[in-house]
Amino acid sequence: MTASPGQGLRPGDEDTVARVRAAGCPSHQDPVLECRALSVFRESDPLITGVNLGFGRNEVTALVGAPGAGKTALLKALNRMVDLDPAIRTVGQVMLDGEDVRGEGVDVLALRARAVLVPAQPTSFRLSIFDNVAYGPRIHGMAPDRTELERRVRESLVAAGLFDDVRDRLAGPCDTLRREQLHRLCIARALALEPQVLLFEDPCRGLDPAAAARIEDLVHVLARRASIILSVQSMQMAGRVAHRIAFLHAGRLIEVNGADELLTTPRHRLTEAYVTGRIA
Amino acid sequence: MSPLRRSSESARGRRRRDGAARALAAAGAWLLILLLALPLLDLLRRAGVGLEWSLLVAPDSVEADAAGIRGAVHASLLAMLPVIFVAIPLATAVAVFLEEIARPGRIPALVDLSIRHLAMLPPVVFGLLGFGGLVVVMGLQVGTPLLAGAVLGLAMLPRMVLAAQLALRQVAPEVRESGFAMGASALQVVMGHVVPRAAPAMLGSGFAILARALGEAAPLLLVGFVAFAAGRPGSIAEPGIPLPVLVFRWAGSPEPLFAAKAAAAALLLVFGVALLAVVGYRLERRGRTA
Repeated sequence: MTASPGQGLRPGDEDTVARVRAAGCPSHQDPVLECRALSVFRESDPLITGVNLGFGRNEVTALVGAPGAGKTALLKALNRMVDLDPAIRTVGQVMLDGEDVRGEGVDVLALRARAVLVPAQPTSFRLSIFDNVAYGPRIHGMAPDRTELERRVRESLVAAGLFDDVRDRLAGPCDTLRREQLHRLCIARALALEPQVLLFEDPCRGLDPAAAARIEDLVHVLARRASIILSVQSMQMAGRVAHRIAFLHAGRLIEVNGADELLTTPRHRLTEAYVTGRIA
Repeated sequence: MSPLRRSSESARGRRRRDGAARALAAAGAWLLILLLALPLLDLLRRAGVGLEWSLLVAPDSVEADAAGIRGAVHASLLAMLPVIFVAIPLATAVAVFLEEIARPGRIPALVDLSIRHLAMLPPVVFGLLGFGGLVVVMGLQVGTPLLAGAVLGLAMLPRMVLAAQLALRQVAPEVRESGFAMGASALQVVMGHVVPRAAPAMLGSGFAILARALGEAAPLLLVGFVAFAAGRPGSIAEPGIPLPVLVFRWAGSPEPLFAAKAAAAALLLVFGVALLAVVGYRLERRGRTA
């Protein structure tokens, strides 16, 4: 069962949720995730309004915009992390493989295991490195035995580029990990769920340029395993990492296009102003 | 003279004001230490003849020579059991519910507000509430450690709730977000990640609350603990006077030896309370670094 795009609208919301068509190509031929007229409100303030956007399979899509543009709200609406804040209300549809994630009977915990968010602030659990990575498969019952669990943990750590650093101290605590390693641990923890979509919230925040470049490379490589959506402020970083870029401004989707095209020939004046650094 | 060495009038004034403020703060700190030390020194002076081994090993008596605190210490320890096993876990559960589980609404807000107000009440008011609720309505026997523990638990409950709420609020929101992002349920996030991180602070607060309960006399006086109960209570339901009440009673006696013994017992009580507070602090520190 699916909800209609207008479901959840309150009187007066129609004025706020303006029908805006983004420049470029917001739709996708084979979307893994798709937003249809998606709006997110905090109380009565709109965080994003009327977003129509498709995310390609095994593609890296970057949501770019200044602080307050609505990147995080959009990212967290995709796997219903926004529902955790009781002040937030979502209107519209998010389709994951053609099924509305906000539809009746959807198991939100299972949804978050299929579309896993990697938060901007890397936080380890007070567990060993092994147990941190094994956490997801354990709570979702994905590893029926120890062998399968070890396989998942090992593969995730290898894919996140952390295995060689921690192979001798898997049973040890995470306190000794450097910040970049902590980022990689959080990515490995998400990968252990073998997700369909990985949602990165500003994946390089707080990293030095060299570490940030390595994480960017990793994100690019991970697109072979899952569809990747990331929110970033820097258009340059989005250009380096993403296949497609969606530019948001003041809660509205302004333009969507291939990364090269959007950076070299932006179609909207706001995109051009952001690319050239005239607005930030 | 170089410009760096030349001190302007305003710079000299700022330095003078800084010095005066620092001296005032230091004087305030020393005054506080003096105010705390004076009663202790006075107790030590008064205790004099009361500080003897028989004070620790003898039970209470109507004879000042034979009176000791053994029974009262035992009663005090028994009275802590309801605080440890009922009040503190219950307060922790209430705090977890209010902070982590309850959706914002009128009822949780009302409970939260009520707890804040109850925590501000002086403990003596809980004596009145205890007398009405526990003695008159529930029929608990007067003068037992069970009643003392129940009254002290009641008095400490709102304070413990506030302390546990504070500990939970200190847990970074990123911890919760990381748990939810992995598809964990609210209960898994709270019990698996939030409470373990808040536990050291809760433990420290628990010990501080216990220390406070151990030294509390006012609410117990209101539920009839002034009556004489010699000997050592065999169980939590047998008559026994907690140590603070015994100190209060001895201090009011005209017999000079009782007054000395009251001062000695008060010193031991202060020592016990301070020991609990220090143990709580150390455990909290150790938990934070683990």
